[in-house]
Amino acid sequence: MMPLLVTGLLTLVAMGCLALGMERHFHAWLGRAATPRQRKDLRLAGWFLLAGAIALSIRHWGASIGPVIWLGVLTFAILGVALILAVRGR
Amino acid sequence: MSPLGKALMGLHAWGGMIFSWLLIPVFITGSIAVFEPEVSQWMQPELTAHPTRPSDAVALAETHLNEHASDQPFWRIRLPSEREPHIGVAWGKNPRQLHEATLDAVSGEPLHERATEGGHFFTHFHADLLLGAPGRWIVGAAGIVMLAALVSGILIHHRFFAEFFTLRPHAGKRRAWLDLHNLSGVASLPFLLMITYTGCVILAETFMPAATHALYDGNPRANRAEVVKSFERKPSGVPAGMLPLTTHLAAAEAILGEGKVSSLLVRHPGDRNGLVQAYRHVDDRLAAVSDHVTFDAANGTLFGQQTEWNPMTYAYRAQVGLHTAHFGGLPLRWLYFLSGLLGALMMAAGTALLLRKRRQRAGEDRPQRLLDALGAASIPGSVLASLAYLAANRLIPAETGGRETLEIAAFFSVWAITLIHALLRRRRAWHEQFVAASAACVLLALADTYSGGLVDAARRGVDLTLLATGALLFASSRRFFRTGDAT
Repeated sequence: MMPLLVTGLLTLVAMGCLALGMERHFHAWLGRAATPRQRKDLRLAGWFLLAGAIALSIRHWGASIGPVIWLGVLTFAILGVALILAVRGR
Repeated sequence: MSPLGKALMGLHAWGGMIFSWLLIPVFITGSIAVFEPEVSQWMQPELTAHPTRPSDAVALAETHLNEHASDQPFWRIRLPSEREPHIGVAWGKNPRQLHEATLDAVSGEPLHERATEGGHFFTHFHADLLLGAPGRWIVGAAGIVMLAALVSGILIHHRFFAEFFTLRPHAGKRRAWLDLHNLSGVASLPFLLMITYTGCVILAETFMPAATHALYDGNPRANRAEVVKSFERKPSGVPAGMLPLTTHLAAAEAILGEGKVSSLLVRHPGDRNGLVQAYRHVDDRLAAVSDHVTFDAANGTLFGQQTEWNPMTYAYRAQVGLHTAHFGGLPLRWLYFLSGLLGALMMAAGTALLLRKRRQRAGEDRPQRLLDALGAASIPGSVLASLAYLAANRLIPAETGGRETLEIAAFFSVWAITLIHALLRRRRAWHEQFVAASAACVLLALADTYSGGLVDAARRGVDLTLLATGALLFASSRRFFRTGDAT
């Protein structure tokens, strides 16, 4: 269960960074506009973390099963970020 | 909107909704099927769960078969596993129609579990609606429409990239449904494309049997026989002692890996030409191919083995493996279960959107009432039908003859009742069926917990899942269907 949790957490944070790298979500979350530089950095961090998560799952589950599990985790990371943003947005 | 956009929209909305009446039940039963052994364990409270060593289990099974089936030409032993912690034995004259029994993994005593299709019913319904070849054509056609709806959906909802991560449950109803539809669809898109595509690949042979039929002189099984080697020989008629099956098991584990043997097949036990074949688990590999080895039953020499396969076999069976999810253990099963339900949610939200749009244009006319009712029967209705199947399992006494058929009858009768109910109660039916399903989930979980469900890990898991599902169904009934204006 531990590798799944770590992969899940990494992917969740990665998707969170990608979401904050978008104009509207950054504004909804922090109440101010992001500078282009901030958005770029957030997106970069998001992609790096995603790459880290997929590398980790391949290391743990192997090259054939790892990506499948990572893609499955990705689904729920996207949902998780959307739910957090929706609750914040109220 | 361009003419092409309009055409795509029509295909996506109407094609999607009409086929969702079938696809939603197929996705729900498919998700449950991921946990087929656990559901079977829940449905057979007589089954015990004790950890044991493979060799002990095989010795117990051999004793049982020697006592009860020494004159039978075929024996099969399913070794206990984490998911099925009891011994399966089977014997008979035709290896495809064996008489089966389940033994306790520690005492070797027969368990006399109740007759039921168990979790397999969900797998069976998911694959062919219990209709055989015609059912496979129907499910396959729905799968192809699903692929078309997914691709047209990506084109229509192209704005979702700008609205990625967006969920506005408190915005207007249309907005809220559209967000839910887009988000659940986009988030589970890799899974949905994969599961639908591999589902169609599995059925490809059923759609286009002509080539195989022509190439193998009308005998499609010959194709399989070319790939899966079989090591068989005729019985000699000369009796001969057999080495203990535990010896064969140890030899098989030396080739297939320790703890990797899933089952043994004995051909002609007690004959000089007897053979013992061991099959390997597929639960640690993506490609669902089961390596196997065969030994001479009397002296233990290796008679044949197949542990390497044609690359195309791996390629094809990897797609089957991706669909059936025997690899990857518990984490992957949960991901598949939830992703499948997310797919059903995506279709349900799409149906809600279209019903709402049509009602605003056409009002409560007769077709609208029929479409509403079909939607209700496919969404909360198929959930209620599945719960009725589980409830029937507990309500029909364990000794009743033909009870497995009665359980399935409960599924289909309750499903038909949900349609009639939806036609009579119109839009209020949505709310009522969601509440009924939620109550049924909680009642089933409590009933099982208070009748010994706590001792068994699989039953505990099913009970907790039922409770969570009940809470979720109740929340959605309140959130979306409170005033009966579901859509």
